[in-house]
Amino acid sequence: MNELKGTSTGKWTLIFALLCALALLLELVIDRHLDLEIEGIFGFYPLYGFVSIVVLILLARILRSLVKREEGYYGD
Amino acid sequence: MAIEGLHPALVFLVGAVAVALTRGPLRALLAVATPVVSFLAFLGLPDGDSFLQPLIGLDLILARIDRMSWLFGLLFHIAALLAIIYSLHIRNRLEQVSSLLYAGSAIGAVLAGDFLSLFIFWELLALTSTFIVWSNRQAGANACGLRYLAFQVLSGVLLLAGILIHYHGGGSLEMGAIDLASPGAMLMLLGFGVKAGFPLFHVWLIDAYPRASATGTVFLCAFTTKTAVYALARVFAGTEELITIGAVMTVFPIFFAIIENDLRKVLSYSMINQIGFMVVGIGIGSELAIDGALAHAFNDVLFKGLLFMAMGAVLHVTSKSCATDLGGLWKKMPWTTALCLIGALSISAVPLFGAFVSKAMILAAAIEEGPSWLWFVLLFASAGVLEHAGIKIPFFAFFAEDRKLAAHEPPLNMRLAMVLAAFLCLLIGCRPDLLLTLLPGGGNFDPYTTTHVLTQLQLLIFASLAVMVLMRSGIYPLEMRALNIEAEWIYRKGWRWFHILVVNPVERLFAAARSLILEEIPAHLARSAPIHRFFTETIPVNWRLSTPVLLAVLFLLLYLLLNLR
Repeated sequence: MNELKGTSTGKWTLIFALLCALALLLELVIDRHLDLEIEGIFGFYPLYGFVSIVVLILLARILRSLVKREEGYYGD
Repeated sequence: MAIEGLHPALVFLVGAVAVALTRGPLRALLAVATPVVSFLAFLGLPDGDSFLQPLIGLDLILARIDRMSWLFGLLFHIAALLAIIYSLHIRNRLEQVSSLLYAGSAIGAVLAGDFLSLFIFWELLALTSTFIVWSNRQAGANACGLRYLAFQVLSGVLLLAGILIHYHGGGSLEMGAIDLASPGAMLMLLGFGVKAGFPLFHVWLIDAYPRASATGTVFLCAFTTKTAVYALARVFAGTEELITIGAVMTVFPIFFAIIENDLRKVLSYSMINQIGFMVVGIGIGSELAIDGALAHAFNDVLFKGLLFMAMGAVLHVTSKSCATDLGGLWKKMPWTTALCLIGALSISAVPLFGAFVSKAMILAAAIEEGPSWLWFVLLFASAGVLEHAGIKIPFFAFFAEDRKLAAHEPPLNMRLAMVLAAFLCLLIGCRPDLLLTLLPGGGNFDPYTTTHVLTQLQLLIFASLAVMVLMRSGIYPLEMRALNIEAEWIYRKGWRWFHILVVNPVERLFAAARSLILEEIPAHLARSAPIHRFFTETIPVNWRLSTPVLLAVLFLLLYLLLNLR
């Protein structure tokens, strides 16, 4: 029951990886105007985005183990 | 072109009657004409108060035009037109009539200049939307509609109680800012909060929106919660408690959205998340924050409407809306796929799409005026939006595993409504000044700085990378047929525990007390010899009845005398 079949492979992965690298490296070129000190750390936004999703999904897995019930649980 | 002296809500009422009495192409024409004529009447309303209506010594203000009400009036007319076009193909008179009445009530509510008029339209909104839920003739719709109605009535009762206490305490009935500490304000806030989907009060939304018909949900998602956001912005702007409430609303739904199978339910969770951003903006209360909240409400109606329309189109042609049943539809529904992707990019706040502008305003205001933790929470929630609404929705519906479903593009009217909504999402994204100049604070904000475009793209691209990595590694939770319990459990299952823990012990106690007082003590007394003798022998037969009556009369007289003043 692999629900994730159809996730693209090959050249698209490469393109996406290049996009990620580009987004990260642009930070070195573009002069940014930031409001907070923490934003100035190299790779803050990429790291925050990545870590957020990892934390989110790990917590969601724990949540599922707590709240999952069969479909007819409420009898409708 | 503007029509003067006609109340827009009245146009919808007349339109609903006309739609109820006609059929075929004429009905379609009348349905589309309703929001158009209403909009012309709306343009004809003078600035300030009009349609003053005396009622039992109070003056109702049925139309008050200022920048905020004008913005929402415009928004609701657009939403009504799109939703009406989207639902032109349906043959469900009850749904069509209640949808028009519902849209009209929402327009009436945002035009209301005093709290009593607001309350009247607030209740009409509740009633008419319940009929939309009921009009989906499917198993469980009746019970679901009743649960929905219960929450809407609760909202109305809280609001009315709050208004009365506020008025009694010397407050004005005119719509205006109220301090949360003043009498009745807390009840009004809760009344608004139920409709806005505050945490724990949000369950009606999660329950009812996925159960309404494909077309019904498109109406529902536009009006009720946005009317509540409007009321909050009017009355409780700058109330600090709203920051915390809103922050909770942005975060908790995304966890449930990830593990939810029904994609329309995922969108319902996503609504609460988006309203959370607006509530935070209202709570911060600075000019930029309020402008951001209102602009975000405007965008949300468009992109959330678009996403609900796309999922509705899928439901319409496949009769399915669960991730476990869908997949691979992009080949058969390329238009719907593309339009859904525009909605997904928009809700994820990708540059050039609507929400990029308004979410940036709220985040900027959060840095300027909010508590220090707020910005981090909102940024986390923004990444979460991308996951459940930006990736999950289009991915599982149109890509993922091809389920070989029989499908085709939805009817032309559905596609037209989606194209219009997608166009508006892009228009606001590319020309934000069009929306910003309409905002009450003037919308003095430039979202397209290189810094912001870059940081937002970095956040989104690396969040997508995380999703890809987790999907490949098998950590991403699989879509499965299951139901996730949440606050709803309290009243749908929790009553059993309430019975076991509270009702049953109390009932047993009462039963014991009853049998003790009414049966065992009299029986015991009857068995005791001295008492038995007293009643049968000591009391003379002829005053056995009259004495107690006499005693009772004396007692009542005494009671009367004691109470005389």
